[in-house]
Amino acid sequence: MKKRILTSLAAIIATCVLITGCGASSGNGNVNQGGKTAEEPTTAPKTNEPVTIRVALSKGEVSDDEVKEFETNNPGIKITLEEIDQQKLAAQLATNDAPDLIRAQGAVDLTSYVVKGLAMDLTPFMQTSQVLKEDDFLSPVNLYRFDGKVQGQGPIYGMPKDWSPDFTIFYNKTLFDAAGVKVPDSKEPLTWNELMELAKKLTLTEDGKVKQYGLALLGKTQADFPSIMLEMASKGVNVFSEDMKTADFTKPEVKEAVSMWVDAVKKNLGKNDVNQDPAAWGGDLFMNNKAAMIMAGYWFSGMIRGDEKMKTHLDDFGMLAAPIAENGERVSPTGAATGFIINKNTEHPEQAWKVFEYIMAGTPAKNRATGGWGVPALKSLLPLMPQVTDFDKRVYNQLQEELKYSNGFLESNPFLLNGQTLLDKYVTPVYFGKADLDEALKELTKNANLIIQENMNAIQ
Amino acid sequence: MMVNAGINKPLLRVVVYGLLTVLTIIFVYPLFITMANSLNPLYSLSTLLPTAFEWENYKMAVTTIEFPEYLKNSLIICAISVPLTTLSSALAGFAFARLRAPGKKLLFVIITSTMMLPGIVTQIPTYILFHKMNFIDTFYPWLLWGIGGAPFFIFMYRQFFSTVPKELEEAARIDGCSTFRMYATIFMPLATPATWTTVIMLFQGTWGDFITPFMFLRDEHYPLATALATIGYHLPDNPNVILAQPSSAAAILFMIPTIAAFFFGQRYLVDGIAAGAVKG
Amino acid sequence: MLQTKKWRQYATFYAFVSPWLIIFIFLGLFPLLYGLYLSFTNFTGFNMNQLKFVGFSNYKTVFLDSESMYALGRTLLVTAINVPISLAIGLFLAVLLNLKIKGLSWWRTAFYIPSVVPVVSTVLMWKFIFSGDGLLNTLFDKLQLQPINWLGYEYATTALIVMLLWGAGGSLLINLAGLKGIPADLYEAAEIDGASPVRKFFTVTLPLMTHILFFNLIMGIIGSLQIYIQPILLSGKTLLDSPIKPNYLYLVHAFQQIFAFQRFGYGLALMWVLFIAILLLTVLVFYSSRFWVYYETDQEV
Repeated sequence: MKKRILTSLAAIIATCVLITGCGASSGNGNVNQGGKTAEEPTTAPKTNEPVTIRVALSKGEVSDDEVKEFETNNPGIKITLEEIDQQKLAAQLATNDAPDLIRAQGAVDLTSYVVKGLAMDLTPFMQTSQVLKEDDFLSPVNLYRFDGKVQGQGPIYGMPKDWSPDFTIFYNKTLFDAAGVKVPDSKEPLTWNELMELAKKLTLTEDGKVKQYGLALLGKTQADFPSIMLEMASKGVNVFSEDMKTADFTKPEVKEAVSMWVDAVKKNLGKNDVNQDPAAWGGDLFMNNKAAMIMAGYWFSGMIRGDEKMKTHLDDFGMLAAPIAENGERVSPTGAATGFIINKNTEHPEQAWKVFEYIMAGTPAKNRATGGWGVPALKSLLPLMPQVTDFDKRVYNQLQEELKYSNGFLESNPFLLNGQTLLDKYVTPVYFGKADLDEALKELTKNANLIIQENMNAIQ
Repeated sequence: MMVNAGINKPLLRVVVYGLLTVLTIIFVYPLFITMANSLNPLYSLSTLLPTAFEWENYKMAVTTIEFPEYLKNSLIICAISVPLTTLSSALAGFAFARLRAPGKKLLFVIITSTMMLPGIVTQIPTYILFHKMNFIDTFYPWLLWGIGGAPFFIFMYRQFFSTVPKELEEAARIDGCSTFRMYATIFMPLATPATWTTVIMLFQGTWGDFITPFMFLRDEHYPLATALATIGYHLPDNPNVILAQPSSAAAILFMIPTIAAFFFGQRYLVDGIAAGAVKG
Repeated sequence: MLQTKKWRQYATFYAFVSPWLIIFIFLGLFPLLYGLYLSFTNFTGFNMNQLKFVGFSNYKTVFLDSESMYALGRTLLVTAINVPISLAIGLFLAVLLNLKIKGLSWWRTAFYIPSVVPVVSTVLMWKFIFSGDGLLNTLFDKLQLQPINWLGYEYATTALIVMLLWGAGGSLLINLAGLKGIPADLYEAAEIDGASPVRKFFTVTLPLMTHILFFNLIMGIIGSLQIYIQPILLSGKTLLDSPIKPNYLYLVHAFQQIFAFQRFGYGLALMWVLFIAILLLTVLVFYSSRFWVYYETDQEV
């Protein structure tokens, strides 16, 4: 009887092997062996075996054709593209199995990668590079500098593939006409209050239902973390302490900014938690003539340029300056500056740098610039940006104006990622009249400090 | 078989079919919305009824990502996982229902409790383990998990096997059957509905699981579920701009195999113990 | 003789469960214990080589943190409503689809569709149905009723439960398989006694389905306490978005503390607390089962 069971088990295992014979033959020659690379000298193997460089990105940021081109010109290097994800990255880092190039956002998580010791200092590479030269860099590249205390100073850890001043405003003149409102002058920035007033006038209802919204954001038209940080930058107010140890969202200026957004929800200026508009994102509203304005970076012009319906009346569209605080300084920074860092523990730093250079200055960089989906990080690529139609020119000229004010950065804290999640958690009840704003901001501050403290302790 | 006498009354028939129709609308309508959305022009807002018939979206769904490759990976994973898990779960379920041994209670508590821990707890340690074994980005983990069976189905088989009348077992024992033969010739045939339930549900679960492959495989070995959930459809130049219509089209295509599996598999949900079997 | 027979049965038992047992020790136990260890450290996802043991401090936070207790309360509420109704709906659908009706396989497939739709698509569909001018409010409008802010503060949990109940047919297959296992002669006997359909349901079907209901109850509780994707996506777009407060369920809290705020140690402690809670609840249900579940063999669990 036992024999029978054993034979049947053997049969099961035999079938498994048969079934998987085809499936498991995945060529994973590039699996890192153990986690000892840090101590080993980081020289490339001298064999003829091509080295694989793994790039974690959002699919589409580098195309298959570009990969092919690189591999043809660099026979010794193969590129594999992987979809970036924090959850998976944590597991990969725990086993020293992380990709060689990792997507980062200069204005959001670069500092956090540096304090966690995951980003390689690229200064030596930059100094000898033939294609990436410091005097060719536009100011947002400095977002990838961090000396452990101040962002924008010290060693350079990566650079943006492209970027935009992210708080400019695109308008749809047809909807301004429908509301009988004039498109404001694009020379002078609006103040936040003026913008909200304008949005109110542009919001039209019919039978109690919204016919058109005044102002869309990419997400919801409600307390938006980057926008609030922008207003603070314009006012010169700091939310985080200089030693990065604490955050204070209870400052009167923050409260004022948040209550402006609470008001925007009450006035129904765009998609929000209360009206539950089913549009997937703000862009859907704008592209369907349901929002007169949208706050978005230069890259959004690519949406308008490429849309069949909008292409026919491009004269109705244009870009306005990023709003400023009342009596505030004019600033028009980026909220993202998406780019790459190189994994500190990469086994092939030389090859990884080659790929990095290609993405930042090679064909992908040129393709991005000509596509008009963002502002290049290199001055030399600026002339490639689209300037064919009047719309292109109008937007390009406004962009030149914005670039003068794009040197500043939004404040961020390496120990607090996802500030938006935290902000929504405590402020959403306020929209529904279920919580008091002061209380909400106090809770927000308390929890933000807790998170900062725990994350800080973990690396000390 | 059960209330069949009643359904012949015309009034009751109207009620039953009316109810079926209403429920069908409730269950199918949301799917219909996805279908409507999959046929709308790009960038349009969702609508309750289709506004156009853009079959182009379906073409985009299968061509803008490497759809056939992902499909192949899905099939491989299912081919490894489904038969193995079914066999091994049935074996263990039978043991828990019909055999006695010391430690059985404890083992059963362990089986049930492993279902209670959210997967996130074991994610990183499991990754470390597979990494040490060089199994990352291979299909071997599914082979091992398959041999190990699934707690859910072990439990389910136990529930089914525990209702098989004792007389059948005793008769078999008098005939001198070994336990394994009794299991294979009497219990397994009786559990046909349970087995098909397991196969259909396992197929559906494996087909739809996107987190596990996501953690342990790399992009070119992703199954369809993972590819749709993580890579998805967006503008080539801007990953922030999601193309909702091809995504809906892909979701519809993705569901077809599981719906088909149910449609064709359900015929095997035959009546288990026929009248008189107990006496025979 | 009797002794060898007994030992033989023990050996057979262990032979039968060995595939599961071996794999479990190998692939189950180690990750579990490792996960448990991490819940006692200051793990933040990146500091694997400089972990510090922090004792019970993460566990202390679980009980002192008003958010986790609030989330637990909401989760228990959702579970208490969702599980029994799901169970009833699941059984009702199965009984309905076990009748002799025309086009049976088509009806069954239609009923089974909700369990085939991927979670993310399900939420997207329902979000659209629940939205301001969505299907439900359009329907309400036709019926001259006031529109409801389904995803707003007051109704968000109702909306979540409606969406979960829509998937109640998930147990359809198991229920159908269970119904198929009921010996036909019992119905015949009941018919001879002149029992009405309703009586047959309560005297034959229901008692002989208790082992299936018991299974569905346990699975329902386990599944319901572990919900997190639906409430998050009902309010937001990605898993790192914050759900509306009434839908801030326990695992949402745990998931977001881990992946949005890198509090891995704390998040894992949250999950182990949930694990203990589910375990206790399950033991309770198992204990109660001896009073209402019918088995052919003597079950000692």
